[in-house]
Amino acid sequence: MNILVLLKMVPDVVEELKIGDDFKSLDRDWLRFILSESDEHALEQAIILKEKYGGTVTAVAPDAPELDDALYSALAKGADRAFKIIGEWDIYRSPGLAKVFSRFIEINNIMGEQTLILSGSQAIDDLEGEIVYYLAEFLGLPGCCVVTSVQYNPDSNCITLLKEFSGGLRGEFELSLPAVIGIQAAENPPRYIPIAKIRNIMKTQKIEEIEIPVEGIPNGLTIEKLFEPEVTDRAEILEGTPEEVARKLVEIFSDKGII
Amino acid sequence: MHPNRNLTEEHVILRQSVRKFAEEVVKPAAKLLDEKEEFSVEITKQMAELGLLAAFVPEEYNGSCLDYVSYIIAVEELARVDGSHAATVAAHNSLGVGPIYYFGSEEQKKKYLPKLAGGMLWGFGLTEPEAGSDAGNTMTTAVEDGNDWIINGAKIFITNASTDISLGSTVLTVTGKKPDGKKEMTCFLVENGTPGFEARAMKHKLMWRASNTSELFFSDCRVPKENILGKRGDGFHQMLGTLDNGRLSIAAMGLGLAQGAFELALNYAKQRKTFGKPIAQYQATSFKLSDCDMGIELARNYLYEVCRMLDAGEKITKEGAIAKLYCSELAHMCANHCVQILGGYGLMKEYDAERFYRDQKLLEIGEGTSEIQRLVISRMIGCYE
Repeated sequence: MNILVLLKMVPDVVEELKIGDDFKSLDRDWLRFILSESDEHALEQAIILKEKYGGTVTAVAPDAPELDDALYSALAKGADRAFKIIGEWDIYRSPGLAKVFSRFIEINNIMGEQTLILSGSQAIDDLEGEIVYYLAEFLGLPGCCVVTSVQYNPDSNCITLLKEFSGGLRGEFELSLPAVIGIQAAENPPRYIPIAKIRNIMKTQKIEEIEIPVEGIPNGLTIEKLFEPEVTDRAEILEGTPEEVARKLVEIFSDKGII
Repeated sequence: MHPNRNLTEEHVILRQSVRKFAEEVVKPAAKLLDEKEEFSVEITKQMAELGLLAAFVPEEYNGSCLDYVSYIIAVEELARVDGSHAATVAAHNSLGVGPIYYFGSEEQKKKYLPKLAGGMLWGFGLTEPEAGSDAGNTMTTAVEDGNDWIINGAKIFITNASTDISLGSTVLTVTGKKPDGKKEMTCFLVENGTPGFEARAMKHKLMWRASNTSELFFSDCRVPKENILGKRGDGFHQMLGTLDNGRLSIAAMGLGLAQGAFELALNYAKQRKTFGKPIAQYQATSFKLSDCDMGIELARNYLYEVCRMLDAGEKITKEGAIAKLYCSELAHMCANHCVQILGGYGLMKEYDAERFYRDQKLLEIGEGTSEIQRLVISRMIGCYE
């Protein structure tokens, strides 16, 4: 199985977030970037699948601050190749990024009979969770998101997926490869890497840089205004005996025309 | 806050991966382990898998082959969330692994280092009930008997020596008199389970409650002469060399604790409001926080610089003492300010402030008290010549 993992860096919300002077983006001076949490799970699931069924894992991500660290970590965890797509990515949202990824796949001739493309289900910076379906559409492949388990059957070249629904319900799906999947949680929590391994990887392996032409790529949604929640009037607390409180409530409701 | 100034990309990634582990694995467990005064074999094994237990040992002995700056960053990041786990790693590397790696024979290194990299711990038996910094007053003796040596005596406050995964300890003994009348000191490697040797955990500590501290008892404990570390009579110099380097890991613990306490205090001060505004905006608080930040900046720059000196093979007797003294007193100040800024909450177990406050105290006492560090510095600048 040849697995491609799509990664993205997102702002670390442990840090204080400030809105930039343009009121359309976050102030970069205050940001620290980390790998999106569900992408970490996608990477882990990719490595687990490689360990179980063999094959290769390729990690790819659009350029962002501190991306190199994340890509070296991916190599140390067991990815075979790591690509950095160069360019200005701030303005691109899911459809644009999906287009970029699909061009990356084309240019590098990655698509094959046993190709599985993994991504996190949803990143915290845009909460769109759409990249999997856009990419599946662009590539003409089956897609499935919010997946928590992946099994591969080499005989039928199919994968069996578990998808979680609300209320504890689970659905089992079978997809034939190639396919695109959004991982919610890997089978095991993302592993930690021995520090010596990172050192060796940094000495022996390289992050490959690639430029993807961006002409004709749609931006998707653009942000008009970013603002902090406005503080409105505080709640009013009614005091008195239950009868008095009930009387006041009836008054308020009838004033507002509710009853 | 730029903890990564002047560091290589490798150092930065190392810091991130240790920080991630510390935040995700150590931090959630630290409070309860401290409360129960319990050593965690589980977390120690995970730290071994990360390669933290033989940090600067070459790969041929299964070590991580880190430079000293990297090792110090790893200890700093652990101490930022918990003193006990930083202590387990720092003591094991500097005092457990260090002497065997620097002074051991090839056989001893091959025999012990891979195990010590893989999750077994090793202690360093120097301090005695009546000999701490005054190592010349060591009472534990070893007497030659054919091909063996027989050890008698006791050691106290020995880190990592009596856990379920402790393999043994290096023990400083008196083996005779030198021609100049001074005691001849020799170090022995003694494995746990050797007849006549007992390692017993010490309980009811103020601080580092999730790290293991032990008393060692030797009663006609017989060890073969192959267990001498290096050469007979080298013990005193081995011990001094070990302590010079060990001081840097205590300094790293001070820096990390200072950073953790500072971050906690700063976050709290920005959220907690009195009289309508955050307490961070009162100078009574903001000046404390700026003192902490200033100290941390200076401490970090100096400590990393001393590590670079050590990596370059320079002798760091004075610089190590300065780093240890400065960082441990900085930890004291930051933990104190942290508790003060958190006020009543700072006194409650619910917050990490009180654990920082307790844990920092060891740093001014262990591996040479602050007074001893001042003595080392004053000697090095020629006060007593």
